[in-house]
Amino acid sequence: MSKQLFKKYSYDIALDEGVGAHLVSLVTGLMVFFVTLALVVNLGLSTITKNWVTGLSGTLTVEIKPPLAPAEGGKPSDREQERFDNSVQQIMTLLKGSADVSESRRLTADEIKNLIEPWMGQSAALDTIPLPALIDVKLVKNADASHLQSEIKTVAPSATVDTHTDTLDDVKALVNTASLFVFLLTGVIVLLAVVAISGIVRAKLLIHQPEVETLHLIGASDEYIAGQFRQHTLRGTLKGALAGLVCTFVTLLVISSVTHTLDTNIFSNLQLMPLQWALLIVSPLLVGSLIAHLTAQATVLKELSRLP
Amino acid sequence: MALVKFSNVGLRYSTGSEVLHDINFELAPGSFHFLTGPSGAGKTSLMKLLYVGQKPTRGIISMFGRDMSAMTRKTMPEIRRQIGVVFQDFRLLNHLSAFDNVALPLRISGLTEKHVKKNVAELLHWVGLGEKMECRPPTLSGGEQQRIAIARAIINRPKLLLADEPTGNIDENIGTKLLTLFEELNRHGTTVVIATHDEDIVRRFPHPQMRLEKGTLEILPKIQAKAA
Repeated sequence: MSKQLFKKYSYDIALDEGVGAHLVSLVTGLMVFFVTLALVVNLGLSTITKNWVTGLSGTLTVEIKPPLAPAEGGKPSDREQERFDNSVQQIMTLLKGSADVSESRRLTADEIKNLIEPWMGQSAALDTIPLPALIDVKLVKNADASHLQSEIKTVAPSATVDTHTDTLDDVKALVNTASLFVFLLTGVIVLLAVVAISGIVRAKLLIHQPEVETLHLIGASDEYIAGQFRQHTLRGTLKGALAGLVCTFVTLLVISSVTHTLDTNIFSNLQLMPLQWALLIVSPLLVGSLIAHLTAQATVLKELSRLP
Repeated sequence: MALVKFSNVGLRYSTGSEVLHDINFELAPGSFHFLTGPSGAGKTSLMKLLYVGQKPTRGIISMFGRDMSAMTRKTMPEIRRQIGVVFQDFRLLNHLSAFDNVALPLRISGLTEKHVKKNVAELLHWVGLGEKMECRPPTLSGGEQQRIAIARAIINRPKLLLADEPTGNIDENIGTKLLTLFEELNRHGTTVVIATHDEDIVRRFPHPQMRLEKGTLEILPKIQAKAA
């Protein structure tokens, strides 16, 4: 049985022998390592963006400026305070009654302080400065946000409504740029792999020229000879691609554990769907094999065309 | 109809002078010819043209009734499979066993492993190498390597068998056995051309000669007087 298996994978040309017999594995291993890493980063960024977009879209924040105090550190007049409270009350009533709103909630003073704290620190000033009223609003699906915005403005002209559009646009632009970079990087890596594999196959043709010529002269077609190189390159590619994949996942595990220790929470967001995992594993193998297959075929056929 | 026909064939390598000029001959099916001539006369070049390892610079070569200049690259292997060649340096693939070397033409032709095993084993026994099927060429003697080369050349039952200096590196006794083997193949219908500079062999085996002298060919009738 083992003899039969060996026969099945032996070549008429001694491609498994000599210098550079495993170069294809090395090149494709590196290619798959970098491309998979780039893919993981890209998929991770997409997931993070999706989470952010899902979290922020369909929401808006209404801010009602705090009543003005006559002097720094002083208390606002009763009239100003009453006007502020009325504005908040009117907006809350409007929101409760709006068909576009699924949920609305005024943030407590402590919640607002927690939001401001990263910028101002835990100073005592937080207790003395006037705090705005912030209302978190969740919209129903296909809500008319601009209509709601104008209604709020009618009720309380001083209120500002943040639909998070600018933030979302910035995040999307950043992720799109990163994706483009990853795409270009992948293209460059694939191109380099094609050039390298083509060079390796040409070198192998040169090394094994006498055997190739003999096969040619005893009636082997170009396709038969190319098939030998193709099969050898494909096997090398699969070995290299598998090794590259393993290295990628080990690297990701290491990065993930390091970032987990640092509490950066970046990789905890890289939760991929089963289909994405499958794509991540299968795509580099398929793409690598296809590239190796086509490159070996094209290179050998081109070189063989020089024989009579 | 001639099996091989050369009409006004000339061959020039690169920009050098012509090594073969106005070669005209026909090989009838089942014929046996020696290709003789001094070193440098162009024997190897003519053999290359015969085994389609080289294209002529001018003239028309017709093989098995087909004009070679009209053949496409895809149909060339089919022609080559009808020609068995015993190269002077044997050109065996050293990483393959004797069995796999002989099996090459059959596998290239796409025959099933069942056919390959039966035919190759039979032929290797016939040439006396039945016990050395799994040996690789570097472990065999020069004579044994030559027999593998011959077996590989005839395994496909070629219409045309070409041998380049087959008696060059072997003793007279083995040379005689070899020529007897070629004659036997010829009796079975294979057209044979043997390039040699061994005048003794030519005298002892009475077949017509194609004599090359300074790139031009002359057909000589067979020598009748066979050595005792």
